[in-house]
Amino acid sequence: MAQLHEYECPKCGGALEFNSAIQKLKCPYCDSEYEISEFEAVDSALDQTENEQDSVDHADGADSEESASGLVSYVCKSCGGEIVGDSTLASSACPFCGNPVVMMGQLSGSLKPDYIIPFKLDKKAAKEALKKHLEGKKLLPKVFKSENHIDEIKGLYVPFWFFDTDVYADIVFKADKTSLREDNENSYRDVAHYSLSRKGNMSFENVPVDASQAMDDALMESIEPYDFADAKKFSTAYLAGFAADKFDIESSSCLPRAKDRISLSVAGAVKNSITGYENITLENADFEYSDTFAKYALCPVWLLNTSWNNEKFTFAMNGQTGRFVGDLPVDKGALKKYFFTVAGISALIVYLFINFFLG
Amino acid sequence: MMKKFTLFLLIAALLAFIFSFSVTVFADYETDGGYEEIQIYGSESDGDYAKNEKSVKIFDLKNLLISLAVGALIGFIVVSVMKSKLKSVHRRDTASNYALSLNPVIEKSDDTYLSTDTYTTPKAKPPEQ
Repeated sequence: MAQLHEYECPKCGGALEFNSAIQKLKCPYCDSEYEISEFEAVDSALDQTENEQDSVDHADGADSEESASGLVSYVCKSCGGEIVGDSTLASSACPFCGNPVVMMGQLSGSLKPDYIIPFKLDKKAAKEALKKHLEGKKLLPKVFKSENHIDEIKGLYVPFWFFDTDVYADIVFKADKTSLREDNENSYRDVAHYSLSRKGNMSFENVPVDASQAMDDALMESIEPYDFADAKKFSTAYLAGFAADKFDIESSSCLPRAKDRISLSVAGAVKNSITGYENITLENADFEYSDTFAKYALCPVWLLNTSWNNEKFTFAMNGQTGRFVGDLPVDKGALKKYFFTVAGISALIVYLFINFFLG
Repeated sequence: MMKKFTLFLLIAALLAFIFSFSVTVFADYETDGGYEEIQIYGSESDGDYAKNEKSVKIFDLKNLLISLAVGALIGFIVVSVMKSKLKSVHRRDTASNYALSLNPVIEKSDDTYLSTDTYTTPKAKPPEQ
C-alpha cells in the first residue's frame, strides 16, 4: 500500500482538489470534474487492519531522527520534495509544488474514519465571516480590522468522536409549594417542602467530542453543532486540497466529556418536566448509560490565525454551517474612552433628573 | 483624546451646575405673577429680600456623588456588554442539541412531603377613633 497518495486528473495529470461548492473533485488546470465515487478504488486498501509498509515513502536518512521528535517526513511523488508533519498529519500539501497529498497510512485499518462531513464553505466564505466577526465591535483595536493582518487561513479536517447513548436517570430534587392564608390579626405564608424523585430516560445521538490534542477543546465546542445528516461514508478523496489530522485521543478518553454534557442536559430536562412546584433544586442524581456507541468522523474547520502585540489569536469557522468564533483583543484606550463617555453622560442626565424632578 | 474628554466633563459639570441652579430657583419660589417677584439668592443668604425662608441648593454634593455613582455603574454595564461581544469561545455545558427528544420519558414519579415553614405578618390595625 502506498503511504502517500495524490489525486491526479485522469485527463491532464494535474492534482485534483475537492471543491466544496460542487461537492466533487475538480482539476484546477483543465476544470474537469469528478464524482467522489469514481475514486472509491483508491480507498479499498484502507480496510486492511495493519499499517503496512509504514516507512515506504518516508524520507531516507531523516526518518528516524524526526520520528524521535514526534515528526514524520514524506517524499512528494510529484516533485520529490520533503513533506514534514507531526505524527497525526493525515492530509496536507507539498510545500514545494503545492500538490495536495493524503497520508494513506494514517487513515487505514483502525485509524480509518467511519464518516466525513465534507466542507460546504470555501476559503472566501471564511474571509467574509472574519470580516463580519470584526464588525460592530467598538472595543476592538483598529489594526485588527485590516485584512492584511491574517497570517494564515487553513482548511482542516478535525477528528471527532460522535457518541450515541441512552441514559437512565434517577434524580432527586428539593422543591417548595407556597400558599397564603389570613385571619383577623395576621397574614400567613406557608412554605411546604417536598422531596421529588424522578426516574426516566432520554436518548442522545451524535454528541461530538474532538479527538485531537492539538485542537483547543473550547474552540471546537464553540463552533458546534455539526449536522450529522450530511455525513458521508469516509473517502480520502474528500481530503484532497485540505489538511487533516488523525485522532490521538481514544474514544474512551473522550466519553467522560460527552457524559458530563449529557448528564447536565438530562437533569435540566427532567427539572423542566416538573410542574406545580417552585424553588426546584437538584439534590442527587444518578445516571446509567446504555447502548453507548462511538463513531469516528472527520469534521471540516477553517482555522484563521492572526497576531497582534506579540500575541496569537486563532479563529475557527465550522466548514459546514459557517458558525464563526474567536476571542478578540480589547483596546484598553477605547475601553477607557467609552467608559468615561457613557459614565459622564449618564451622570449628567441623572444629576439633572434628580435636581429637576426630585430636587 | 483624553484632554478633549476632560474638557467635555468640565463643560458638562458647569452646565449641570448652571441648569440646576436656575431650575431650583424657579421651582422653589412662589411668585406673585410678575417677574419682579423672582429673586435669586444663594444658600448662605440671610433671606432679607426673600418672601419665604426656603433655601436654594446651588451645588448639591450628595446628588452629585449619587449621579457619579449611577453614571459609573451604567458605564461599567455598557462597557461590560461591549467587552463580552469580543469573547465568543466558550465550552458547552450541555448536549441538548443532540437529544432525540427534549422531553424525557418519565417512568416513575414520587413526591414526598417533608415539612412546612409558616411566616406570619401582623395585619395593620385600623386607627382608633
